[in-house]
Amino acid sequence: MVTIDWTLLSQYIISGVVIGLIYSLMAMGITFIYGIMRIINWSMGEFYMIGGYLQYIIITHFLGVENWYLGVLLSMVGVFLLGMVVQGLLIKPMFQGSVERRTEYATIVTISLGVLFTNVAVIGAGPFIYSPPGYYHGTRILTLPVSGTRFVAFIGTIVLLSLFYLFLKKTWWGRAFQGAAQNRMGIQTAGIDVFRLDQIAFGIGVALAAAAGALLAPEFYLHPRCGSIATMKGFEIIVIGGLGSIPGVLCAGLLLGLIESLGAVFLNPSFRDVYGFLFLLAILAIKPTGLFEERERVA
Amino acid sequence: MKEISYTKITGFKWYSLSIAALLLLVALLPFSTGQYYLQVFTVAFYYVILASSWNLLAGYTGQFSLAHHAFAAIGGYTSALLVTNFGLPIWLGILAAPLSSALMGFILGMLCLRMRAIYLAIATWAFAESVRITISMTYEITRGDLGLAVPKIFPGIGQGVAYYYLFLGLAAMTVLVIMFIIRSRMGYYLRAIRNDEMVARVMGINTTRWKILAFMLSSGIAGIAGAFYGHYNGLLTPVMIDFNEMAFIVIMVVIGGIRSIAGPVIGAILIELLTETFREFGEIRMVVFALAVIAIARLYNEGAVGAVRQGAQWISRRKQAREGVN
Amino acid sequence: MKSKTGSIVILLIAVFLLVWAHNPLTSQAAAKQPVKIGVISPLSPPGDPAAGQLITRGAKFGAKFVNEEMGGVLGGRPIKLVIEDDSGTPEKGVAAFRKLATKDKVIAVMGQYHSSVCTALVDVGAEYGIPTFSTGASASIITKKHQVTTFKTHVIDYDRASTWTDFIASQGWKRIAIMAENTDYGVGLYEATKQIKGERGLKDVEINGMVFDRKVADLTPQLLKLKAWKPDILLNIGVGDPTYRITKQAYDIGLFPQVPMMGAHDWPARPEFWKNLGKMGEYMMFINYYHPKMGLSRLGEWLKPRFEKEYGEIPTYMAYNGFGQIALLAQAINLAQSDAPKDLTKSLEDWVYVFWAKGDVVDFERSAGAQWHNHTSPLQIVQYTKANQPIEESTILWPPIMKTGEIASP
Repeated sequence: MVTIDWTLLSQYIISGVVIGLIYSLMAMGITFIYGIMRIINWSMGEFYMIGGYLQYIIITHFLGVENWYLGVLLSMVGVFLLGMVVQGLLIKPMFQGSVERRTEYATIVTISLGVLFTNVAVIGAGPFIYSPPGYYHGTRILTLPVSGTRFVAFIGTIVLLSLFYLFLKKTWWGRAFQGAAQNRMGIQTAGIDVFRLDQIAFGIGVALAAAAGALLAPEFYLHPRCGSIATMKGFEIIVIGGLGSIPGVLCAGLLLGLIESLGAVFLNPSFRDVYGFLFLLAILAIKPTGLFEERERVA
Repeated sequence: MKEISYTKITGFKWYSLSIAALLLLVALLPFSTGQYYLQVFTVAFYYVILASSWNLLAGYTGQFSLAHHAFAAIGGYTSALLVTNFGLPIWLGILAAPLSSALMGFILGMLCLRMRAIYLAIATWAFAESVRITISMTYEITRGDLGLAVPKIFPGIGQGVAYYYLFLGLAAMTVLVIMFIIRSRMGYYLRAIRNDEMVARVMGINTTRWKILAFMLSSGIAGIAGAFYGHYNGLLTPVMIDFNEMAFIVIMVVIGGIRSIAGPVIGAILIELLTETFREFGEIRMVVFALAVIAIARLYNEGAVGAVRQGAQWISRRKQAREGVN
Repeated sequence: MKSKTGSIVILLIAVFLLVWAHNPLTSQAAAKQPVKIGVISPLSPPGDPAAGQLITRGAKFGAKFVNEEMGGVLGGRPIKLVIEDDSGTPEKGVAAFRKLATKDKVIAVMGQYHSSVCTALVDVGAEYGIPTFSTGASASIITKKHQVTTFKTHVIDYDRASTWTDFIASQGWKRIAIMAENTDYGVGLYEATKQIKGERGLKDVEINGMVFDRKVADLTPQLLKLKAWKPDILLNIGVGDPTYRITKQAYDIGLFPQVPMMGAHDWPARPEFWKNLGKMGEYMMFINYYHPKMGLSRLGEWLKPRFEKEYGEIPTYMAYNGFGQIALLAQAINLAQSDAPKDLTKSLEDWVYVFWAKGDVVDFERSAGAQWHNHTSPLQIVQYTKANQPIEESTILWPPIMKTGEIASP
């Protein structure tokens, strides 16, 4: 390419940053659950989808579009409770000695859970695509005109991530979680019910995915497999950033958005979703534990 | 001790008899059933290959790869593109397939296997998605979602019998090869690595090398399967790399019984048959399978094979008890 | 150990025996047995299930019409539909076709909507010698293969592309932006448009196209690039949810409706359109196959009130076409006086048939190129002028002979 269109370049960068940050919400959920329980939840995309559908039902049948933010909160609460139930039924037993090979068990169970939720959604939602109405009127972020929904999702993500950060740093529960992430044994000896902590952590993790789903529902439309792209980005972000690292998620999210945008502007926009993976491979080759290594305690 | 040797003898008779009966049944099936079930079984045998080779990797070696379907697709596309674009004979294309998928497996393995096991699952997952998008977007070469027409091994219709025996042979060979590996020194190393990599390393096993070898091997087998599948189906599309396909393989292995030779075989045949038989139930089938997998993983880790095994033990115990009473 | 393995073997034997037993060796008397017609349509994502549902609804009414009004076929044998889902993916379609051909022994297969699936299926149809109908798939390649068993009552890409190219030329637009999905339909239409531009000698018209992957959620980068190019019109070539995303995201970045947009098929005619887009769909133009102003044959008149009563909306083109094909097949089966696919193929070629639109007669001829065994309905370009407008009130912009108004812009 001979000439660079600076407006276009700035628009791409902004749109990459916006999307990258929104996907960080997904990644944050994945990494938080991993941090506490050392498992990867493969059904994250399905919780994203459930969050979206819940939001649709809540605001089109009960609250109305003007109360979309309440809808987002309620969908988060709904998915949080669902996550607690799922954790109690399926994940908890693996810490109570009845399961060998935890990683394998967790992977199998959460993949099946994803298959289960997707197909239930196909049966339940029928063949149609749903979309709640947009949350806000169109606006612009610097040079980039964006839809109100994307703007709201962007701001919403910043708010949620800040709240999450404050929760971790300032509250008793948050500190308990940090303790559990650092040393499960230690916190148990300190008299904290780790199983209870696990259950809540799982709920919070999937609720973050649900928030992303609910915020983006009017933007990307709802169908039973709508969570797959968000999940892919989420996983890429945590590998780039380093599993279990919270600052890593933010940086990797922004970086991923940027890389994809730059690839799109200088190369081919249609391959945008592959650039992220190429970047991931490069990171793996150079620094196998991700950019922000989280020191792991063995046993 | 006497009882044991006694049951061993009768057990052996029973065993060889049933093996013979099964072989006869499998060999004669084409003479009893129509083209439809031949196709179903052909595809089931394809899944037997995928499920067994994935079981070698995930079950026995503990490397939870989620790109097995992508390696099958890489093999399929390699062979199909070589044959259609360069006029290679089909068998040469099929020979090239495992090479390319094993090479990809090698590169991916080199990058991921040095890290904690959990990264492997994520990286392979992202790898599969990227392969799908790449095949989908390079439609000038791969014809993307349009589907690539692939020349068939046996052209024309009514070749169901030929394909049935071909895939039966392939599946049987795969299972034998895997059985051989598991019982060899390599199998011993792999299990040692799965049980505790640290200990294995201390014992002087070059863990990375064996892991990469297992990864390449199972990717290569998937590549062969994919190539034959392409030349059987006459059509390849990126749908082959949909995550559902991978989930399907996992479902087959877990329902059949992970970490057993017969498990993936039974799982693949059973699930494929059920899927076809209950077509009109649509998505409900997948819901039921998913629930079954969750229940098996949660309550009972050994799948169908384990259930049968325990059932047999129970029967022989009862028999012994009764004989004891007599 | 051995006895355990033995029991596993027994389990396998049981599986094989089950299949053996399942095999229907006894064939019943053929007298009053139903004549089976296969319907392969997209009924789940990633296909366009809304379209598949319209087709199958129409086809079901077709079977009802044949069984209740015509008294069945071949002297009283009912028609039975065997409906299969292809999910819009060629592989699943091929598997479904094989099942219909070998297990259900259908006499014909219809319901095809996605060009990629249909392109694969017509070859399988030729293999088995079973007449295969495209109901809503339009790629030229489908009929260009000149398979004796391929039939189509739908437009071809070439007609579609020439319609909009002529329209664009008549408007004096010079810069055409294209968003095309990576399927036969998307890429085929993109290529056809370039070809027709050359044929018409439109040297000063420029085309800038982007091909995208159907599963990708965010199409903003492609649209931004097109917007920076300052096009006169944006052609939206997609099936299912991508079409909505293109419209919405083009609206968000201020590309549409400032720059007019045209949909390549009649998806905006479905009620779903306004539900998903609302005000954002205003001023949408699209290629349409049937406008309520055109009138119906007696077949179509039979369907309309019944469909409306059952589903609470008027039937759209896809429903009419699904319905019409079943009615057409019933006529052909009667004329063939046989339930063999081979005889049916011959009678389809030999006779002419009544269809659902007013004055519409279907004649499958072995014409040159993509017109082989093809029956095309007339195309219009229509435009919505305000939000939530029903299709009856949309303006017909093209062809000039049917024109009801001028192009509207914000």
